[in-house]
Amino acid sequence: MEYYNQLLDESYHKKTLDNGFKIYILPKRGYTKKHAFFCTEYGSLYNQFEKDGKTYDMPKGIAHFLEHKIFDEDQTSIFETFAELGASVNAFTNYFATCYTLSTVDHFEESLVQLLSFVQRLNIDDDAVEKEKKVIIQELKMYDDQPQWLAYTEMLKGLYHDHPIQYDIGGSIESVEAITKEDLEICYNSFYVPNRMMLFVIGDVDIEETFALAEAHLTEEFMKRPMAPKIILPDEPDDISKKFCVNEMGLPCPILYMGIKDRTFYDDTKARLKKGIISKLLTDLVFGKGSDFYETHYDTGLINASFSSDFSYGRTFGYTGISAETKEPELLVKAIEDEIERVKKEGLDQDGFERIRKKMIGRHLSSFNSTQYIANTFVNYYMKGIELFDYLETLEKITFKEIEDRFLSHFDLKYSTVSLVK
Amino acid sequence: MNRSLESYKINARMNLYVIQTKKFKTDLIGVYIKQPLNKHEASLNALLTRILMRGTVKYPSAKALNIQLESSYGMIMVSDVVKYGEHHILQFKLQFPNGKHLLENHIFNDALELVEEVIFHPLMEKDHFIEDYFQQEKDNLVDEIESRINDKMSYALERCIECMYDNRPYSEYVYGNVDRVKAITVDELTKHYHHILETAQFDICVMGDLNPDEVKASIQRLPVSHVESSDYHMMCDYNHVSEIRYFSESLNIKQGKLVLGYKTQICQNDPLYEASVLAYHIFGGGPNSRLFHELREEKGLCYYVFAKSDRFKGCMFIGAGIEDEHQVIVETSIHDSLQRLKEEGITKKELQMAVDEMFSSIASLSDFPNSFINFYYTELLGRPLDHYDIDDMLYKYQSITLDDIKAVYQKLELDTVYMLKGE
Repeated sequence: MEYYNQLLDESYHKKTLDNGFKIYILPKRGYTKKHAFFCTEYGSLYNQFEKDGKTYDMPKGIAHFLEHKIFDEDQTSIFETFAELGASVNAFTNYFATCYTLSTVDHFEESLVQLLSFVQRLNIDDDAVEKEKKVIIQELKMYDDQPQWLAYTEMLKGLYHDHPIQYDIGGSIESVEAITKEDLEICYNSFYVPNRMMLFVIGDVDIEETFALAEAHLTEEFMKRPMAPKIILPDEPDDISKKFCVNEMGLPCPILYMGIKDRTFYDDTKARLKKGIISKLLTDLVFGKGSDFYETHYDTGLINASFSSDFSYGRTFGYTGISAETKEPELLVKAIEDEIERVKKEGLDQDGFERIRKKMIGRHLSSFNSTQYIANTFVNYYMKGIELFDYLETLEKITFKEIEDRFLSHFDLKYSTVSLVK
Repeated sequence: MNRSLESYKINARMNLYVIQTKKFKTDLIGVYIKQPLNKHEASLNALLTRILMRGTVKYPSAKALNIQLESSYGMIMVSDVVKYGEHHILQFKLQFPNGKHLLENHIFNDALELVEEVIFHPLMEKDHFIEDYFQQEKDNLVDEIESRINDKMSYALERCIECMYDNRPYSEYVYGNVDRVKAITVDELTKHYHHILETAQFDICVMGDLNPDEVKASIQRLPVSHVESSDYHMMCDYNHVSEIRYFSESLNIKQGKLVLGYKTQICQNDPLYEASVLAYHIFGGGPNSRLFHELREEKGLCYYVFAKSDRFKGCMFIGAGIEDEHQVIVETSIHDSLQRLKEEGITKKELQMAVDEMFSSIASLSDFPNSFINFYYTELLGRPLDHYDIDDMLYKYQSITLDDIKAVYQKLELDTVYMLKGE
C-alpha cells in the first residue's frame, strides 16, 4: 500500500505480513544516507504482563537492559561488523519501544541483513549479564548528576500515583542489580515477536527490492514466534499524587518543573493526535516566545531563554510541562497560575492561534529535511498509535472553539504539581 | 557529496558561499563574524549576540521579532558565539521554509531582510543600545555562565581546558566570566558593536534551492564597508610538556568525571592533520574505539568515553564518567592503551574502518543543512579560499598510512589530568 501526502510531497509504502509484522519504506530521492529502524513495541512501561495464565512483574529497566544485551555476540563485535561495512549501528529504549537503528551511505543491503539478523537472536550468559550491570549503573549515575533530569522525573512522580511513566527508563540501581539472565530471556521471547515488531526504512532505496530483502531475512524461527502477551497497566486516578517537592543539589540557579496532568484519553488514533496537537499549540500560544506572558516576565528577569513549555503524551498518559531556570521559583509558579486564570477570564488570542498554527505547519515541513528526524518521528508516532502523515490535515482542521474548550478543561490547577531542584 | 559550492568575494571584508541543493524543504542563511578570542572581548561578543536579538528598528521588541518569525511559517533564528581554537565566531542563522512549498516566492528576501535588521539595525536610544535590554541580557548572561556547572560532563572538560591553558586566551570560557560581564557598560558594548561592524570579517553561507546570482545581488546590499579587515594571528600550541599537572575538584555528584588533556603538536595545516582526526577517533571516539572496547566492554568501568580535539589549537581530550575510586585504574588503562598505540600502532583493518566511517560522515553531512555550512566554514577558516577542494581532502584521508597514524600517537603528550569527584 502506498500513502501519499500532497503538501509534503512525500509518500511511504507499507506491507503487513500475516503474522502482524509490518514493514514501512519511505523513499527519499537525492539523500546520501539511508536509515533502517528495527523496533519492538516494548519499552519501560511494559514491566507487567500476563503469559500462559501467569502474571509477570519484571524489575524496572529490563527493556533497556535487554537492549544492551542484544549487542552481545559469540565471536565478533557487532559494532565492528557494521564498521567493516562502513555503517553505524545504535539503539535506544524509551517508554514505548526499543529500536535498533542503522545508518549508512554504502552497503545498505548487507547492513540491513546484519541488522535483522542480530536483533532476531539473543546470546547471553550470566557473566555478561553481571558485567553489563556495572556499565548500566554508570549510565544511571550519569543521569543522576543532571539536575534537569532530576527535576523532570520528580515532576512525573508528583503527577502519577501508579502509572509506570514515573519511573526512569533505565530503572534504578537496585532494580538493575535484581535482573537475571532468565528474566531477560522471558522478556525477549515475549516481546521480540512479529506482531509487536516493525521495520522502517528511509532513504534513496528501491522499494520492491527492499521489501523482498527484508522478508527474505526474517528467519523461519522468528516468523513462528507466538503473539506477544497481554500487557497490564495499573488504573491511574485523575488526581495528582503530590502538589510540591524539592531537592537540594547546590545549584547557582534553581530549576523548576511544573506539570499539569491530562485526564482525557482516546482510543481513536486521529482523536489522540488532534488532542496532542491542540495541547502543544496551547502551550506555545499562552507561554511561547510570542506570548504576553513571555515578554512580561522576560523583561522583569523572572524568566530567561531557558523557559520552555510543551505537552507530552502517549496512549495512557499525558501532561503539560513548563520548565525554567529561575532565581525566584515561587514567584514564577504564582505568575504561571495567574496567567492561566487571566486567560480563562479574558479568553485566548485568536490571531495568535492562526500565527502558531502557521508556525507549526512550517516547522512540520522543515522537519522533513532530515531523514533521521523523520525516522525518529515516524517511529515515535507509530508507537503511540498515530500516523505521521495525518499531522498536517489534522492541524489545518482545528478550530478556535476546540482550542478554547481544551484550554478550559485541561488547564485546571487542581491537577498541577511543582518540582524544584535547588 | 554536494560540490556545487559557489564562492564570491563581495568586498574586502565580506565573502559569500552559495550551496545549491533541491533536496531540503527549507533554506538556510548563516552569517559568521570572525573575532579573536581573548579575556577582554569574550563576554562582549557573547553579550552582543544576545542583545541584537532583543529588538530592531522595525521589530522593536523580542516579542515583535518572534511574532514575525512565527508568522513566516515558523522561521527559526538563532544567534550565539562559538569558540574554534582562538577564534571567537559570532554566528547568526536563519532557517526558513523554501518558497516553492508555500507559494510565497519572496520568502528569501524577507528572510535576508530579517537577518539584516538584527545585525545592522538594532534598536538604539541616543546612539546606544537600550539600557533595559542591556541590563536584562547582562543578568541573563551571568546566570548562563553560572549555570554551566549544571552539565557536569562539559563542565569537567571546560575546567580541564582552563587548567591546561591557565591564563592564556584559549583558557577563556566561550562566554567569558562573570566579573567581566558585570563590568561591561552600555557605552562599551555599543562601541564594541561599531568596532565589529567596521573592522570584522563577514562570511555568509546560503544553502538551498536558490539562484546564486539573485542571492549575490541581494547580499551586496548589506552595509559592510569595503575596508580591509583587521586580521590577527592564530596560535597553534607547539610547546612541549615539561611535567604532567594534576587537578582535582569536588562537587555534590554521584559519578566522577575524568578528563585527560594532551598536546598534539598538530593543527589544521599540518601534513598529519587528517591522520590525527582518524587517530583520535580510533583511540577514543565511538563504539569501535580502543578505549570503548577496553574500558567499557572488557572492564565495565564506564558507560561513556569520548575523544575531542581542537584542530585550531592542537590539543586533544579524553573524558569518561567513572567511580571516584577507579580513577587510578582508569588513568593507567588509558595510559597503557596509548602506550601500545605508540609502540605497535593500529591494524590495517582499524585504519580502513576509520577511513570508511570518515567518508560516510562527510557524505552524510550534506543531509543536515546547519552542520553542512558549519563544516564548510571551519574548513575554510584560516585557509586561503582558492586552495580548498573537498576532493583533495577526501584524497588525503585515503592516502593515510599506518605509519602516519603511529606518528600522531607518538606526538601526543599528556599535559593535564583533571578529575571532578563527589564530596
